[in-house]
Amino acid sequence: MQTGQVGWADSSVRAAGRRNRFFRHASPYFLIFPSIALMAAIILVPLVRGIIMSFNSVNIIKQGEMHFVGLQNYAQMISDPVFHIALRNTAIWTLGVVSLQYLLGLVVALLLNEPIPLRGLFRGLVLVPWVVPSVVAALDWRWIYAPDYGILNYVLSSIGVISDPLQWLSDRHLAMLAVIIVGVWKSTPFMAVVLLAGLQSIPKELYDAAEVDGASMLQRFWYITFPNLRYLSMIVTMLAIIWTFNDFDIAYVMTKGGPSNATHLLSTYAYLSAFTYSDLGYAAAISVVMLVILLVFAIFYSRMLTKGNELA
Amino acid sequence: MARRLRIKQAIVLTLLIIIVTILVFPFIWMLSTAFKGPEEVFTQIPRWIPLKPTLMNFNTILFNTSFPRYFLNSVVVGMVTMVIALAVTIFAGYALSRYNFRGKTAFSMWLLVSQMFPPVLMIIPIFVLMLQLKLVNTYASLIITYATFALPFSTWMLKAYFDTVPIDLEEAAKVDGCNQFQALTKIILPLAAPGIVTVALFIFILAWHEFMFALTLTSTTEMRTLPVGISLFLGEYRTLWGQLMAGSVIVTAPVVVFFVYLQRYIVQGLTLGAVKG
Repeated sequence: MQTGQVGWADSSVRAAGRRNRFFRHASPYFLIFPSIALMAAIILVPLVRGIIMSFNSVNIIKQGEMHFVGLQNYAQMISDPVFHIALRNTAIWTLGVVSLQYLLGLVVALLLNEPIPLRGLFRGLVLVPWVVPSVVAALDWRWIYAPDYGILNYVLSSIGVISDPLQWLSDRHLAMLAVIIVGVWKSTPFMAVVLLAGLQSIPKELYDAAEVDGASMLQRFWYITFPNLRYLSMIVTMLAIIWTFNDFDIAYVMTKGGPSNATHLLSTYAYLSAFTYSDLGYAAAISVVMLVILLVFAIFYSRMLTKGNELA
Repeated sequence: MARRLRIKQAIVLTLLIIIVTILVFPFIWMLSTAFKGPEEVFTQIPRWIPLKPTLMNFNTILFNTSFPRYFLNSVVVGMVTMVIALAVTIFAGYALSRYNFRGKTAFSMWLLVSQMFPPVLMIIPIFVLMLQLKLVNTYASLIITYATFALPFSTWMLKAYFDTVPIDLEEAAKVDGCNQFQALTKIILPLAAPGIVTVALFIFILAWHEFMFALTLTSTTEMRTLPVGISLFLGEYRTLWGQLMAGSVIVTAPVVVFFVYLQRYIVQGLTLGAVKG
């Protein structure tokens, strides 16, 4: 407060003091208020409305007019064969992508942690799939998988692995594998970078001591690297599982769930139910089931996490 | 010993080159196809480097399709989202970094938990909300949605950056007569500038990449963003892969440029956020 008038100084200092105290208590709430307002409007309220919708039949044409149907949407899932397929596919997709992504990411991180020439260049190149937007990745791979002029069939047939071109995305038995490959390709860089950061935070003295004691490379990995990475690995795989489970873009752009539902995930099935079959209530119910699965998983997993952390 | 080291290094390098080649290959193939004419795209024996490189595909999509409009939409949505989300999260990140207040843990937990909600669960009520607000097929619907979904990770990252600025500096500034707001704008923000730029680019990229909400909340060519627009290039029976890949290159290029700049911050940022946990 700069009033410049001597007579005012005393009271204005006191007023400023009061104001400061007020601001000290109130200001964090002012600061987070815009975030809270946005998240209430776009996340919390829609979340609650989404859950309510799952107990209603919703008319998309009449601006989302609802009428209550109880558990009917949930009952419909039990007898819906496509839902069962999508549930199973989502499990295969999530486990497939995350486990391969972790293994590959770990290998890449270990390699990048070695003292080699051009390490910075390699690290930059490894990030490329992460940088490519997922829609572009899906389109790019559709071109690679193309049965007639696609490069993958050409490479496989020229090295003699296959004799006839494979219908990667229209063969029921191959489509899921093809989509999983894209998921792994897209997500491995992130995993590798995080694990690399973890590797670099392990004190070097541990390795030196182990080497003096005559530990082999495998022993060093098993007794030093792996235990030190465990906590970080659990956090990052939990994130990866949530992201992969919720992923929509790759499966939707590559196959729209086809051929004959072979790659339908819960996310793509819920989306099509909502916006192609205009059954918003049923779609909401499917996605509420997704949320419940994730919540149960997260609670179970974070229990394991705290327990594992106490042991270590 | 030296020889063993050299053998080990050779093995590491070979493995790395194989893996990196596989990881980068689809991107190279996209680039290569973008510069090929139709007779070279549709051939039984594909080539790495086009025999007769051509800009024809770029020419076609830039002058004979709605691609420039998609590009403009993506830039507008990305920029405005970035400004709004940044303004909101700088305050929130600062509050989390500098204050203890009732509800702080709840707020942080909420940020974390909100990451788990399936986007497909959110999009159904958000679509209905935008329908009721008559915002379907406007920039506003996308901007509000993206800014909100960018909040959790931006707030976390900014909090981590603010934590690295010593609180003493701020207190010294206050002794010198700065108020809290001035301390934030004159001391903290300049010092956390690299972090803020990184977060800003992450927000822009999130908006630039987003597909599902854009697909649902926009319905006309005038409003489509790049990811949706480009997916419309897929033909029902036959796709012009050259043009599609040229479009893909243009969509990806700005992000690649950002990442070249960002690369040194990424590992650092991840270490700040994740490892310290």
